[in-house]
Amino acid sequence: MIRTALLIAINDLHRLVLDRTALAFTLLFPLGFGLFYGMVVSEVAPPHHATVAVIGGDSGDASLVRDELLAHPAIEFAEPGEPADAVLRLPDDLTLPRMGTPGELPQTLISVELDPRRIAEGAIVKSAVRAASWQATLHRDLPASRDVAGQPPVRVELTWRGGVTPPESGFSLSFPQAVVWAVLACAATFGASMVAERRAGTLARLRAAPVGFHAVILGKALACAAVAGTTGLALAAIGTIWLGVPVAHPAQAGAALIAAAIASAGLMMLVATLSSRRAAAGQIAWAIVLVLAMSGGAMLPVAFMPEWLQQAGALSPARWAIEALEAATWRRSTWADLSQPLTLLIGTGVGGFVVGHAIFARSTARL
Amino acid sequence: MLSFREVEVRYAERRALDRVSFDVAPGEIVGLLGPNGAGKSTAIAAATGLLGPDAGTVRINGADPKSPRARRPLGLVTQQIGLYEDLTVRQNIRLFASLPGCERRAINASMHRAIERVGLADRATDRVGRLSLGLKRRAHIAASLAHAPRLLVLDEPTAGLDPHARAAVLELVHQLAADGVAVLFTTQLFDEAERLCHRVLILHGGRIISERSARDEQLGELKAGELERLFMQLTANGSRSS
Repeated sequence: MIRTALLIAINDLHRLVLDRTALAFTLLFPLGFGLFYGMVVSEVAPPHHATVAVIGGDSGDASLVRDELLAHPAIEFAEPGEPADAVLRLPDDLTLPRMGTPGELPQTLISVELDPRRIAEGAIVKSAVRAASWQATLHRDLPASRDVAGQPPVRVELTWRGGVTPPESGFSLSFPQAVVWAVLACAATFGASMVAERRAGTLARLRAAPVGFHAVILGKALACAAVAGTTGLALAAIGTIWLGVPVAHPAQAGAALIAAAIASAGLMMLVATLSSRRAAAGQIAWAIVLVLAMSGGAMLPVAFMPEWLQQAGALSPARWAIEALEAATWRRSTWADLSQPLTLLIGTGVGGFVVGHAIFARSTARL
Repeated sequence: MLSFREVEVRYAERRALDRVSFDVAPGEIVGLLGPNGAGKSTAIAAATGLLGPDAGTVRINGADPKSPRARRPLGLVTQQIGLYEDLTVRQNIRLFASLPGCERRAINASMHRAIERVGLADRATDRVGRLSLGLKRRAHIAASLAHAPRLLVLDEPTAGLDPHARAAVLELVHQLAADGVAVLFTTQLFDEAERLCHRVLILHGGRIISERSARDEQLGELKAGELERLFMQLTANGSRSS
């Protein structure tokens, strides 16, 4: 069985090399996407405002800071349940030091939690909170004053959501997305190719050969997974060596790539069942790929999406793959954090293979 | 070599094959003749293990063709050119010859034999997609012969071929049968069946409605064009005769 599967896999890889269009889609398109999007993210103009979810600040000095912050032109308050760039906690026992205290004002610590992808917004929030606390102190103690210079009475500490250090380069965000594009492109290309084989009669010939059809299908899945995994590895190598994408845990990165490649094989089998015509299968496959990629964060980072799309995207294998790859590169997650996306990816691969194989085998039983 | 016993295949409520029984012996060419939808391709699918019968039995050398081992002596030539168009003739044949698990030396020898046999030695390194339909059909047959099958099943192998290419394919099939290969052959062409087959089974509505054999001289006695008249008569009223 393994010998047959390898034979079929090698044959499919050989045919992929001969098919320049398919090769470009599976190898060059994801690389182009990673480079282009990484450059765009790296050079994008800094934001001018940030959305902040404020917790507390209902009374006392904290409410003064809150009011000043509300008036700040760069800050927009998020309503409860709305996505926010930062979470600001204003303890109700916050005490701003009195002006006129000899020496410098003692600084109170205020903590702001941020999404690690929002470094620029973090700087805006930090500056706005410092300014608001200074204005609050000033207006409380010297209501008639205007523009009195001085050191803010608070120290603002930025903490990153999930204890994650933000990525240093835009390529750290774009390369996991590029790997996901490779995985999805492989699934679409190989799936459509299986439909074409069914139409051309080569699958009927393979079914009649003295080998189990399971081995034939397994060989095709192996070829798809091999190309997806190899492309992912090549992209990771390019990102790491030339573009400064950090790989915090090589073993985790390897596991994420393998799981993504397995998922690709399962998706390929499902694509192969979508239609009996290659053109239709290809079109439907790409439509599904686009939806999975878009909702999963392979086109637009999840943090930029509306909340309903963030929730819907939790069902996309693209999201799981990105989470797993980011965890292994710059998020510095533990194996426990990684276990959920890895399990979902492998489950997609195995489940898709079993279901797709059953449907596909039934549909190729006629000449 | 191949036996069908009371074979039934149903697609939903429709019976594609209805209690079909026949045998194909080594060296014998059996033709399945019938109009579109008569059940010819279903019979081929059942003979090659692609489709399991709902009732009755299909056996190749006494074994169920659903089992890969039982299909070892089987060569299949489908109506479609079941070859990879982006690979060369040799690459295609090597792939299909490799599947049964032969040694590399044996694979190379049988591949060259198959290519020689169909007269494609000078086109072996051409991509299949660049060949004419007649040459593709020969390459297709070569790929089925590469593992030296003892039972060859051909589903309308001459469809779309010009007279020269057709004659070449029929001659090849005749030679294979002379070498002891059992051949099951479907066609819609009466002259082909008359010229080539030792026995002709007329399928209509999934049933064998007539069987003509050269051995009992029924087929041999038919004059040119008579098989067609018989076929038209039988398939018009769907009655059964033998």
